[in-house]
Amino acid sequence: MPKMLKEVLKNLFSPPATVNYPTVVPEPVLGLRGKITWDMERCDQCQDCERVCPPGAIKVFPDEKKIEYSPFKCMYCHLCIENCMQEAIKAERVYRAPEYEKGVDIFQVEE
Amino acid sequence: MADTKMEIASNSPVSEFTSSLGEMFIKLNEFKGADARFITITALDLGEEIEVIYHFEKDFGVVGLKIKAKKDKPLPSITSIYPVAFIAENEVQDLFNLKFSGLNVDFGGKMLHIEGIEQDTLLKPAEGPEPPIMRFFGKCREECPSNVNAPKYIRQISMGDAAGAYDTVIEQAPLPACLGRVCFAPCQEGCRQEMNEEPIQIRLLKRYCSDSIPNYKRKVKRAKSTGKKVAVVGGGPSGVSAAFYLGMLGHEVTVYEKTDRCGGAMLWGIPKYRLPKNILGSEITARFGEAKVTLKEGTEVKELKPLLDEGFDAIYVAIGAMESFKLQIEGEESEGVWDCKDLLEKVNVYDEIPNLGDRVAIVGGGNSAIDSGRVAKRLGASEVVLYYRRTEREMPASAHEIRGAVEEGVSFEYLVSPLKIIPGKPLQLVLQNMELGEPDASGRRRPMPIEGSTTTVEVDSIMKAIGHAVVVPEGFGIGLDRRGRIVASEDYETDVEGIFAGGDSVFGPKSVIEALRDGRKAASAINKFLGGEGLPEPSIDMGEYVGRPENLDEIKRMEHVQVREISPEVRAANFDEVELGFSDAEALRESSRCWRCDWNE
Amino acid sequence: MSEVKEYTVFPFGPQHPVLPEPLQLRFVVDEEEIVDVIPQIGYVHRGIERACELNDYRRNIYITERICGICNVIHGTTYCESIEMITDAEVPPRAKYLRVIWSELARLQSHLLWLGLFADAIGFESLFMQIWRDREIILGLHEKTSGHRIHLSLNTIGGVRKDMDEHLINEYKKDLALVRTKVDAIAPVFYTDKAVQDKTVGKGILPKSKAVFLGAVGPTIRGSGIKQDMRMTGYEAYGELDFEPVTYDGEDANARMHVRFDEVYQSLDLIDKAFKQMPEGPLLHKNTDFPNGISINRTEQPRGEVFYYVEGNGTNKLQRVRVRTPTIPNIPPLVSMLIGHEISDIPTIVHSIDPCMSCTERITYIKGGE
Repeated sequence: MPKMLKEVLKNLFSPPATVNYPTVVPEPVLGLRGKITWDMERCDQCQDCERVCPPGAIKVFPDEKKIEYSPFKCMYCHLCIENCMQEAIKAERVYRAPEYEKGVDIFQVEE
Repeated sequence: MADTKMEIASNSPVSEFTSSLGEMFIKLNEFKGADARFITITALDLGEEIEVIYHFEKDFGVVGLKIKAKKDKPLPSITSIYPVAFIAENEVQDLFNLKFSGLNVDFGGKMLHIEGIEQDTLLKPAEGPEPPIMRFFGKCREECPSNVNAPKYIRQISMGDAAGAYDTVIEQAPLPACLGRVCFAPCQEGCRQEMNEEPIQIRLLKRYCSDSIPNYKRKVKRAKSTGKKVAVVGGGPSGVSAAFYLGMLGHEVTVYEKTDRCGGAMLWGIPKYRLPKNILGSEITARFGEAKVTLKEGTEVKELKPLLDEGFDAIYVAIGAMESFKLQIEGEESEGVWDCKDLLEKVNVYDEIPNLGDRVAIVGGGNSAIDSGRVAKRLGASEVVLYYRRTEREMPASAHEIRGAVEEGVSFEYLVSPLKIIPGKPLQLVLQNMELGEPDASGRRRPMPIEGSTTTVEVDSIMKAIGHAVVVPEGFGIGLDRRGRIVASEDYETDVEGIFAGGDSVFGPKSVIEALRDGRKAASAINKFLGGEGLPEPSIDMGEYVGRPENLDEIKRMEHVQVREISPEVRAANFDEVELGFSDAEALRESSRCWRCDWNE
Repeated sequence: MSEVKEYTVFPFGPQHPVLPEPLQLRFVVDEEEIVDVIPQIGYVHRGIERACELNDYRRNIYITERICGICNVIHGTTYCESIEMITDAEVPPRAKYLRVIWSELARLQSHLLWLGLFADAIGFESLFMQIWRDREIILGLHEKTSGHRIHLSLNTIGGVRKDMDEHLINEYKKDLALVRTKVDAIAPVFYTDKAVQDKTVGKGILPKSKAVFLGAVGPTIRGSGIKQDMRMTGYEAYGELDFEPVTYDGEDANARMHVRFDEVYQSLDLIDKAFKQMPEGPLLHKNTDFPNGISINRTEQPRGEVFYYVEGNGTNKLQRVRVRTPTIPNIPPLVSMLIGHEISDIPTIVHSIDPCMSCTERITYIKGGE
């Protein structure tokens, strides 16, 4: 029992272990699996990312030059980033914000 | 009780016993006596029966007992010997609809399933939403008119199997050595690496796989003889291709060629510095030998009906486009005005060296015009100018050829069109200056003459290279369209039953690979007409494992291999082959650069 | 005329404040003493064995990783090993050591989680909070390694996907030294506190003679004095790390707690040894063919022995994947342990086998989902 008392006293006088998110945002680590975006100038719609994605969160439309990506089905395994030969997919160092509805991100080639 | 035939991979020693229902309990009692620990039960649906495997652990090794259970009969439970097995047996009961008799704790099929909701089981076939797994041809293969399996033969070259690569190409196009020198390579334009300007040089790899095995005799078997006879009129690329495929399917094929050598447009149209004629001849001879094709050279066919009466069951017409278009201007018949076909035929086929003089003018912008220009340079002309009525962007010649011509000293004048030729020595060519107007039917901008503006040049020879027309002899009796070309359906059938047509004579002057494709497809259609099954469509081999290359990062940074060419000053004096092809090491490096777009691991 | 005894049957679970995961035990009690137990599982249905047959064999790594949240690295490693054994793909040595380090990290994190829950079951809520706060250091290490806190997703067939450089290894050493001091601080509570001893000594006896026959695995059986640990077969790099399993002879809940506590220290030592011995080299040797054959693979999870039966038929989809996780065989010993004890001992005894029910059910595929 006295050993626990020491811990209790230490905790009484030290700051809390949690941060006051969202007022205070902690620095994300290097290599964080954050938001995933496509650079449509480099993408040539080869469908490699669609073929490797385990949950099937990517849909490629080669005729319309469009990519549909569902961030809610995605499990952030980064297989698409590893397998893209044109290096068109990037993971940003930002957490994905929550939303009210499970929507889809669309990336389109500009004419 | 025998050991299993299939080796089981594991990290501890494994042994398995197959048993029948009667002997099962003897074995189980043995296990219990030896203090084996029960692990679990695995069940597999084999279609008619369910295979149930009991796993035990004994002395750090896994021991299994295999039973084959019928789907309707209940299996005796082992809970009398191992009471702890009730959870696993209830699972099998729920998932495979297999009843166990004598369970100590029996949930009656409701351990995992809920009342009122339709549940799925682990029985085959597996149903449920599957993620899409697309198998892909590869962009290079999709761009090729004949769907030659480019990713596969590049892979075979990178593994050192040039003979296999050669066979792969012949499945879709039978002349790899020629294609490797003359094809305009739409596959290279489809290659995904073109975005950073370095496509894989697929055409040169095709040339490598045939050049590196010069004495290779293919081990192929011609199909059994069917007894049907097919005649092929015309020995150009389309006719050779159709004859080869029909011969390999077992028919007796006879090829009628008007001149004394096979080859068609490849023979007279393409100069010797691009395609040496002995290579063309030996490859056609090799294909005809494998397919047992009879060749009748120097025979001109004027009427088709006598062939049908002779006993041929089908005829394939592939006479090509041999007549040059006329310029239709004054002074066209003067001396010194050449038809490019005549000149090229003299130089390429008969090895003559006509004298063209010092200054040569060429009218036209296609590959024939460029070839004529480069030939003229080699024949000793010091000034060769090519006159084209549109601009460089609309020239139909391939960029590779234009670059070669420019290096050898051929110059180009754009936006001029011939108006009149004044005979004499030297000839005078009057040209009308043009400007570009609205696009015409082919999508290119139509040239409009500028009133009153002309240029006159003095030349020693003029070459006409503005295109070729199809001329079909009247005796053939088949339907023609208003341009004189043969009318053929999608399956290459003409309006007379039993007569098929393809190649340049149907579509007008096009490339070699398109003629080879027509020959193959027509052979398939003719085979179906004669009662066979046709040739297999290009497809993906589902059972073959094609992995992505391991070192993707390294491959992205590799530079392409520059093919060695004879330098322009040396080569403009003779007709030796300009491109020198790849060596073994260069081909290995170039083929390892491929990204293997047809991966299916 | 003999007396007719009346027994009460009451259900315990599936939702209960003390249970970490849904499990139902129906107790037949006589006043305060337990006479019989009927277990019922099947509350956490997902579609894993069926989904493994519908997807191709490379995506299955990510499906099997999600069988359990706590021990996910070990599931992924075992599946990759099974496929590597069928296709004869050789894993480079550095990848083997990295897999060992991450597996031991997962084991560390799982035992700390269990210690917190055990303290909570006894009644020590503040100890529970403190241990879970110290466990956050390890989850922070996970995030620095791969970006995810729980599912590392760093295994692939033939090796691993990411490397650990010097900077990261120093972070590991620093943070694990910190964890060691924290565990040292709470060790006296578990070893000498009278309340803990009263609640655990003598409860939930599993005699040594019956342990193997009842099919127990993991720390449950190691607390009865039997040396059974899959790491002794020497899979991955364990063969080079001089591994000896920890056993205690107490046969009760206290002994099992000691086994797990000592395994925490053993994991810290194994990670240190692995860092010293890890060679340089490549990370990946790909397989060169589709899997065609059968493989039976067993590895050691924090809760016991996990068994994988994988059969491939030469195409890119597998014929059968059968997973048996360690909590299922621990349920019959649980039943035999509970009989004869009182109702107030139930949370302690149920927790001493460390139930992880999300591993247990993974079987049916419910139609209607996407």
